Amino acid sequence: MVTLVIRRIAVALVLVFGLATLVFFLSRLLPGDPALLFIAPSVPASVADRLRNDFGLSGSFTHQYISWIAGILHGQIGYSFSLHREVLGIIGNTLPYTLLLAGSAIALEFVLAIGVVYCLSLKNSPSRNRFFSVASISMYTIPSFWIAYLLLQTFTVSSHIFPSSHYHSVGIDTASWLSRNADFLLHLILPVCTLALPGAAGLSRFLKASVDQVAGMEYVLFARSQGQSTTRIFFRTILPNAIAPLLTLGGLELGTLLAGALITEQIFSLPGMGRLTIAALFARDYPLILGCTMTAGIAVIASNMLADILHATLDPRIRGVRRA
Amino acid sequence: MSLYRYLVILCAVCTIVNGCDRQDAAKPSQPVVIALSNDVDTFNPLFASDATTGELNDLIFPSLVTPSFDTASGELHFSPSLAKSFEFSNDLKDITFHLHSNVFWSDSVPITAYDVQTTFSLYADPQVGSVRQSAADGMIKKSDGSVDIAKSVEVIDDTTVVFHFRQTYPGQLFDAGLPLLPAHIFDKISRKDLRTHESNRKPVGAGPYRLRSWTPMQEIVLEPNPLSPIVTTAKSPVLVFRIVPEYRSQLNQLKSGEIDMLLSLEAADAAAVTGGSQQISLVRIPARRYHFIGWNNIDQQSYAASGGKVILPHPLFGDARVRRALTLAIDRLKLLEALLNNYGVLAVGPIAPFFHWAYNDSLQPYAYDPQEARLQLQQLGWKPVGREKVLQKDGREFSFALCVPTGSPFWSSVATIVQEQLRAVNVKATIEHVERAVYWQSLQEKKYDAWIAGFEVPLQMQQQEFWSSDLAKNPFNISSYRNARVDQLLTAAQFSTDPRDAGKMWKELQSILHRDQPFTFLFWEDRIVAMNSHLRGTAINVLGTFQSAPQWSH
Amino acid sequence: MRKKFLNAALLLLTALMTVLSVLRWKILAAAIASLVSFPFACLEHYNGTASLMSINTADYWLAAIVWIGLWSVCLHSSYRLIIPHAARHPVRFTQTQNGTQTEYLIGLFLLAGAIAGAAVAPILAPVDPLTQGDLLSTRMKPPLSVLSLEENDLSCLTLSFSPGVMFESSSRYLLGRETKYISTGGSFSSPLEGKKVSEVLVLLGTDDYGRDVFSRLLYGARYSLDIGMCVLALSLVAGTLIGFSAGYFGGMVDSTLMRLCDLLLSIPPLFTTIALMSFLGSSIPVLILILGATGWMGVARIIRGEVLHLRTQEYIIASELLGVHPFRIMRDHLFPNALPILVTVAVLQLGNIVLAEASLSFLGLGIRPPTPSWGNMIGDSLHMIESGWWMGVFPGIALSALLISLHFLSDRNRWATS
Repeated sequence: MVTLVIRRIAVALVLVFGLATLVFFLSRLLPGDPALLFIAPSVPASVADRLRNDFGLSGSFTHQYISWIAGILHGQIGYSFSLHREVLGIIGNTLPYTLLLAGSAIALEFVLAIGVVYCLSLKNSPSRNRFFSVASISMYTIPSFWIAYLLLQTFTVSSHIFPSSHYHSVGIDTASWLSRNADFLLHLILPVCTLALPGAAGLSRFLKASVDQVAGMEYVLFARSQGQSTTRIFFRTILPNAIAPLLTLGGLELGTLLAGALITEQIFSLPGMGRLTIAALFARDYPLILGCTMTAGIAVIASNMLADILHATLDPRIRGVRRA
Repeated sequence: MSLYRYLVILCAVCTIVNGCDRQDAAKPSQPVVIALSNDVDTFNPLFASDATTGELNDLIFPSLVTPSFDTASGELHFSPSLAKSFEFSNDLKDITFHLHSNVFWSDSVPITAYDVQTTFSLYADPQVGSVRQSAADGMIKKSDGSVDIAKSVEVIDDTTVVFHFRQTYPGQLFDAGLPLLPAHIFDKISRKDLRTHESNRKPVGAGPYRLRSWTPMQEIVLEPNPLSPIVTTAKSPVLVFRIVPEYRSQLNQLKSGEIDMLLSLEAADAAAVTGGSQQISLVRIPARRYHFIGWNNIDQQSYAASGGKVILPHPLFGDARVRRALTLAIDRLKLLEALLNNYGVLAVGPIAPFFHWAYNDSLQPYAYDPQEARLQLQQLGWKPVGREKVLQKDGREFSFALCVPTGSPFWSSVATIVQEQLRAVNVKATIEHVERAVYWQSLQEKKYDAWIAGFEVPLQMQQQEFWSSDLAKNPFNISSYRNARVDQLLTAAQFSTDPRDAGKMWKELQSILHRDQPFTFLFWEDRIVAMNSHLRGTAINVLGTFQSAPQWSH
Repeated sequence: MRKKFLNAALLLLTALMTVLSVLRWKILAAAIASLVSFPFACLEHYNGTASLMSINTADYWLAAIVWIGLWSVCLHSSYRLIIPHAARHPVRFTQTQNGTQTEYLIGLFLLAGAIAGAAVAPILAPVDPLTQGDLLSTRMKPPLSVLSLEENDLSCLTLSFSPGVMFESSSRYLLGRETKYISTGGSFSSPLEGKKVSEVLVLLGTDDYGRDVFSRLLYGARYSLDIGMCVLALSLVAGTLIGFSAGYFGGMVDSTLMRLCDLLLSIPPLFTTIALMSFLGSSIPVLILILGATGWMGVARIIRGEVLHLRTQEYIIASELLGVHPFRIMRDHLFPNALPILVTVAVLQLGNIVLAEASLSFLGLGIRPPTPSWGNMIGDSLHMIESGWWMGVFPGIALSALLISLHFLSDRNRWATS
């Protein structure tokens, strides 16, 4: 088990290094000179050169690359041109919001998926199954911006039940702790639903297929013959065996969400890695681009690794040595 | 089951508590909420390049004089702000400012003339690389070309400072009225580290407002500065700037009352917005922004290949008569009506109509006359050929790429319509979308044949860099238009301080540009500010939105 | 019950096609005349042929063939239905366990409808999707409004026995449809003489440039499906090659290829898209390349999993023992057995690709206007969702319907393989 984890981490580190290289060269492909954005035309050449040097824009590509890698090993990604701050600081400010949004969305997806499949397993009715199949496909295929606008239109514009943007209302920082957190939760609901609903639809389909497969096994029949209640059988016997595909998918999904849910962040005016990455790309802000994409990449690699390890923990059969 | 019940009760409690807080809406010190499309990049006037950031910095930092705009004559007047009074010398090259005494920065350090000198040495210092470096152009320079700050901004005593300029020019007070920075903070920071220093996020100023909090990508809160020497801020509201990147979200929030002010409403929404349950009033500000179709007047291939030495007219657009014919082919009135709901005026040149002293109102905009356009093009040798009947002359087709930056739906709309109207006169234009980040750079490098763009004009007349024939020194002359008389007029008007004289020169400049059509000037776009009707005391005009913010109230 | 519903639907479809054929008889006639006379005109070396032959003419030919084909199938099936004593071969669909036959049928018909709609777009669309109308009077008109149609009456359709003349006249007629635009008799002056004014029922409304939404929807199907198919082909080929190699050879090859896959998966796709687009430009081939480059990884992983499973089968082991060349094993044994899952993956990927293209167009990066694509129609319409809901809702429904149909199809396949 420990060797598995160590091997996984080693591979992950190699991947991260490869990612850093790839992202560096891809970002240098972008045409346009970022220096023009922050160096005024009237600045003399010597100062312009010094600024370029400071921001790591002078010298050949290999030279820039090596100095950048060296910087990372010292824990410094660089200064952002467009935001005039250290990149790590900017990401440190923004990443918690994305973690929160992604974490809540995944949690809600799991809860919804398991809940829906549980309700379906209570009574074996083909019409319910049909309805579930159609509804889940429809929900799964709707683009995220549609869902966002639909939710906004229903809950905010017409009826003012939920707030429409940001994570806090105006002036809430003077109110009590309870109000602040309640306000925060209220703001969180619509964006999390926008992210979670399509994902939950997809997850529930896979879970249902897996549960159906496990439900045909002998040990489930045995449990039923013992007279256990359906709920007990579902949560104690079926679910642990059927959860495997959900973990893999959940890991992938978490990674994608951590890279930033751009459209949701844009529509709900939320701070997040998605908006930050896009703004950095359009401003040709190399250090920030690199910082954001590295963070996203590491998030994806880490989530996959986590999913693999969880899978191995839950299912001892996979822990064995891989025969190539 | 009990867990479930507990959760339900918790949710109910939260909702009730939250609802209670919201109902206390009628407090007298209620903040004014304004929506911004982009976050501020830095609270340091040395580096801030965004217009809205500039306005916010003007609220935070004091300046010697404040501008006011005389709408009748269109002239900019300056009145004392941090300075108690000021007077010009006899030769108009020096200005003496008398500061108020007993005035303090928001951290209670006294403001002295030394702050003024330090500020301008920062603006002028090439090491700092400020975006406002051009303000130092008029100052006295040393033999090596750098600004001699001791001579340019002379400190007589704590409350007296004299500006010495090399020569007199219209923008002297404008340049002297830049936001001032506290010397006691900036002296301690190395000039090289200034750009990324933390003080840019925690500014110390003496303006009517100070920064209470800045949550990046979300919100900026400005609260009244009680120590401000400029205005009394006892009754000023707290200003909350919420960053809402989507225009549609801003509009919805205005309608639902979550925000009080929307800085630029689209013309198409003007009618719909005033008819809702929430009372919204509109303020229409005369246009500072004009849109145009740019034509490349020179052949960029030979220009680039020869390193800027060979300047030949463009095969399609080099002739002014062709450009005039193309202008005749575009129905600009219909564009104005369809895209801007008539919130704007047709443009005859690059000088805004509200500059009454310089605007040539005898010039009539070209009428829409595609028949005449076709006739003129035919007379110049362009004949329709082939199945598609595209114009051709000497084997060259009149077809080109019309470039538009991505992320600008307005210009895309203009381009699409222009393409159609050009097709009616047998000119083939294909629309090409270029990424925004490289657009301006490519324009300066003269890479495109035709493009759509717009300029926002400053309140100081500044046309030199756009029409001067010296292409190497003026990359902003993106159409590469060259005319000797225009150069003469530009140089003369730049240094003339008498508005009547300068006005005559600008008017002549406009008539030349109107005749030659280096761009097809489309129209000036009015700005519409939409706000909650309960907001009082707003005096929004061409100068900006927030200069009257200390007097606002609900 | 279901059978009655199907029968009724079939009869309705036949009636609809007949009516439309009658309404569009001129275009059909011109297309067929053009197609038939083309080889003869070529043989005769008629000098008008070369200049009039273009991809648009071939478009019309394809549309006419598909149209006639569909129409005859409908007529044939209706004939069989109505005439009781005609010999009947009952349409047989294999039964699936969960009773997903209806969904499968719906999916099949929706997909067939989308493809057919894309193919017959030149005939079915009442106006050219790119031509704007008279701005002021025709923009943002709601569905089912009646507007007048101005078209340039270039030439009448003359049928003569000379193949050259017939080709020329029919081609001119077809190509003249490109300048049809909607107007309410406004001030838009046309460059050519001889305008003809008729009425057109605008089925789904017009957008903010006065272009017909229905025509744009049909042509948008072409772009969405074309791009989907090309990207699918690209990612299937790449994914299959890599998946097979990784799964079959195992060991170092497997490790390296899968790590490469993981590496490419961990880069945010939006970043790669913007970077490559800034560098290579934003034309459709580049779009296809980018979508393919960011989409092959999923296919590779699934194929590899399947191959790993199949490798343990006895016949594969037997073949290896017999010393059969790996390439032959892959071609003769692995590939046919992996085909069902390949089909499932292909169908699901098509859905993902269409959705990805729609999202890119929504962000302004995909197919640029005025070329219609479902994604950019939705994206452009969002800022006027209150005043012109029809501009975004119909492409949205079309997009969802296509994706749902693909999922229904893959569902059935997936069941059939397990």
